[in-house]
Amino acid sequence: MEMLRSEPNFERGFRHLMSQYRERLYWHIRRLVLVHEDADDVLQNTFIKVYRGVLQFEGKSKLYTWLYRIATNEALSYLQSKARHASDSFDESTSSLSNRLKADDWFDGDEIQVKLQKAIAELPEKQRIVFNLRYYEEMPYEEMSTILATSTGALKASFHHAVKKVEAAFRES
Amino acid sequence: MNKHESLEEELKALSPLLREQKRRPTDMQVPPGYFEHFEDAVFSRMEAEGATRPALTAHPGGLLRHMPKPRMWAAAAAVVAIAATSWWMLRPGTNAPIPTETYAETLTEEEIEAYVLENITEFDSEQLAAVEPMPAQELPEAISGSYPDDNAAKAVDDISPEEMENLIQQMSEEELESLL
Repeated sequence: MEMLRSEPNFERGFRHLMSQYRERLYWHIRRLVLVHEDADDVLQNTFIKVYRGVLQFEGKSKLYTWLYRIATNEALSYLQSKARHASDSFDESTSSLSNRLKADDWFDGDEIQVKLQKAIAELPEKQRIVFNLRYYEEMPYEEMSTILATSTGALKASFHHAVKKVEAAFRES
Repeated sequence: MNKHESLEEELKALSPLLREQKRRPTDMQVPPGYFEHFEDAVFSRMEAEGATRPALTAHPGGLLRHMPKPRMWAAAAAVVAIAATSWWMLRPGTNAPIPTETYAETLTEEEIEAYVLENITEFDSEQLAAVEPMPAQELPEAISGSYPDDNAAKAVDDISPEEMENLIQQMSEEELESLL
């Protein structure tokens, strides 16, 4: 942050910030949007937003918490705008999701893994975020609590419900 | 217990099926070199979109927040001191500037002349040269006329023979020669 506050070092500081957080944020976004091309778009949007607003960052929360929030919002907005453009039918949109996953050159999962991704995609928005943060990123509840501004108890309950729903959907399919 | 072990324990109790799935190799990849070239891609896109660089003072209080406390108080004290001094100097009724015309009216001609003579070096020679010469009839008698010829002769007539002799004695040979 110190580098970002000095005019001549701003670009170097921003490059450093990106190199520190790009991978963590990428995987967070990728697990929400699933396809690499979309994740790349969203990650770039996230860092452009950060670039424009980093000097307004008040330091009340940790930098990575702030970055996670921006990345999450960007990913959800992206999905919402994609959903608006896609078919109104939920079934069609989820089947299109599996088609898109299969078409993604950077997804090499088998049929079982496609089914798992479909089951996760059917979760309500907040549960999906909690599930991904815990299941894939192995984030402790305390850390998640600061990012999502939710109590650890509520997050544990949310993860519990999500796991049960994913397992049920997975078994059904 | 680390993060991974903590999740393993939780999944063991919640869903052995998902725990098993988690152990499988990751199903998502990224293109080779993607992360290495990511920063350049972002900067190229921002350049193409004309993204503006944020102003360093964009956040009100941002710089003050990062300033050490003693410095912050010193800066605040300096601002208060400047404001108070400015108010004191510019307060109504004191040191109000006198309009130029009024000020000029309070000076006598002698004072103006003395000022000009004392500060003659301050005047721009080009400005002085640009001043129109006064008509001869408006000049004071002492400096009008066909100076030096007529008045010099008059002045010499006023000197007594004794004074003239003293003056001649004080002059050098070269000075006398140049006069003759």
